Amino acid sequence: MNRRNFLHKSVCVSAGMLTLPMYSGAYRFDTSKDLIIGHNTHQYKVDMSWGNLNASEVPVNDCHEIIQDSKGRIVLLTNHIKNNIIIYDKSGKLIETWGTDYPGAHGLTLSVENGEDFLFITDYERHQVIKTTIDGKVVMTLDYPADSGKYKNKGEFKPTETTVLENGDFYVADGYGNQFISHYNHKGELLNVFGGKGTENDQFLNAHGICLDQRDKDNPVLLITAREQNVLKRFSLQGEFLSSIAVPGALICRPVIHKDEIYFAVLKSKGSTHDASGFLLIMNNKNEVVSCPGATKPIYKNDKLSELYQTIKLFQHPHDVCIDEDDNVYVAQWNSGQTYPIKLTRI
Amino acid sequence: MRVLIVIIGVVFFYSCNTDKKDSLASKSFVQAKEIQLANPKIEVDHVIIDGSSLMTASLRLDNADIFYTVDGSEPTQESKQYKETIVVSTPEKYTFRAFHEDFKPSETETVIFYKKGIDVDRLSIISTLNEQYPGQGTRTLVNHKKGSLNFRDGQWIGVTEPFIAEIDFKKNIVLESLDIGYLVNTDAWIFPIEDITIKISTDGGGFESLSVDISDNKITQGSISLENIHIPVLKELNKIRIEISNTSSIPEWHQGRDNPAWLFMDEWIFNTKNN
Repeated sequence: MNRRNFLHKSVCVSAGMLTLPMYSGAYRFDTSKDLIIGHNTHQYKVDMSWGNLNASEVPVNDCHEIIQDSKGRIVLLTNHIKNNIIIYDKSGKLIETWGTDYPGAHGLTLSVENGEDFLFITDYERHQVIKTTIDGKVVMTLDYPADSGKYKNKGEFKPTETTVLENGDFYVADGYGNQFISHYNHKGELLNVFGGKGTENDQFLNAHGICLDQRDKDNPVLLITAREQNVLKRFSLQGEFLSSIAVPGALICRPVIHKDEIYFAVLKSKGSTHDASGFLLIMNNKNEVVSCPGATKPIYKNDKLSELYQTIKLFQHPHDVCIDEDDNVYVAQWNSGQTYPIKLTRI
Repeated sequence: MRVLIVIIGVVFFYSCNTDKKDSLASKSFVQAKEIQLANPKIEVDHVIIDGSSLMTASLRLDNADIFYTVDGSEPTQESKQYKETIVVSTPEKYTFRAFHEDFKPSETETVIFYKKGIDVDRLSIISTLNEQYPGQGTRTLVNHKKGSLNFRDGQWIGVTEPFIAEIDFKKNIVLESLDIGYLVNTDAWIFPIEDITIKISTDGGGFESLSVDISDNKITQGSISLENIHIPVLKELNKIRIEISNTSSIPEWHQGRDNPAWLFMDEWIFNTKNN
């Protein structure tokens, strides 16, 4: 190789190296593709970094439930007794924490009374329901409904969820205990008990979640999940069974109503060989499944929903969802390796 | 050199057209390529073959393809592609895996088919059955039916102490091998077999012990699987006594550490030349 050729080749190599970044940009070798989950009108991009905190300062164990308070803040409930409640702003920035007395913290429900926010926490290890102010002052503690005759001792009462009516009445779902739904007035006086463990229409296997459905203002009803049975059950406020909505394959946790739709975290896919097989499920105003982020597209054949199951390993054990005014979804997960909530941005 | 300058100019010009908005918008969101497909869903008539069995594989996600092998190897996109229901008529090990251009391939999903064993008329359980999970009693382990992943499906016997049973074949047989099916579901405290002792008798009296090797079964948190231990025997016998120990101490990484684990068994298959 003579000197002229050597210099020519050297210049070419150097030019190639120098222009590589421009070349890459020009021809877009980048194969990035945002993950989009969900179906039909409800599709989302996924942000795993939302709300991540320093685990040595603000740790979590199981993140059981998540709600939005009247100020628009996102309130997370975990069973880590260093900080059972973690409050974020919508950007995921930590605002405050409180709570060290709820080892079995499971259910979290917002109740707005005369413009003031209160929280109902169910604790299945304490076998109690606790009502607090939004900053953690306890205003009511409820033990198991001994007078109902449905329980031999407090150990049989492992409440998982509550829902509150506008008049202050509230219902407690005993999803990990004897599976009864207890109805109380605002003072905590027992009014009614219904349900119980079993496979009849008005009974439950894992009455895990409950919410008030007043989408039809004239006919408010209760929606109660029978998680092990993959069924959502509708009851009157008096505790009469009305109807069932089957969601084959989906272990639905609690119903969350946002606008005209019902959202669910699905703990796992029934029959999956992989345990961390959860996903989300969304029903429209007719209680038809329209989207299953992380799972199979909902298909109805002869009015019967085909079995749903996880298709991508994104979620582990989703346990609750919260939906903000922009229709973004925040997902709290159980048994996920102490992870913080996942945010889904609606597209 | 002039040519080189022109090339640099062209490349520089196009590089300015990069859609920065898109790349910035993508930054905080999870990328599809980071995510793994879930395992294909396999549905089987029955895995103990007495004639034939039908098997389907699915992953209801647009553009996902499923490939499989029957030699125990890990499927690739060069393996046979699953397209329709498979009719299985011989004992085989099917391994499935799903692929999609946007996602990481799934883990494998395996189904093992067994030849139906000989009929067993008399199985006596010597240890005590657990009241919670007695299955269908003494027939459970020799009813030619395998259990599902649901340990409450009635096809499983669950114990937390060593399980001992004796089978009287009433005549001399040449037992070629024995398959013992069990379940792993660590979240439900169900762990693998820890030890097996087999004793055989040719005259119904004295028993001779056979050594059984149990490979170290690596399991992790969240493991759920149908498992099987295949034990070559190749002996003539008319009685067999089988003693199976559950995991006596749950590993440290599990919340039940140091406690005895549950052992769930669904079927014992006795293989001879004639079955």
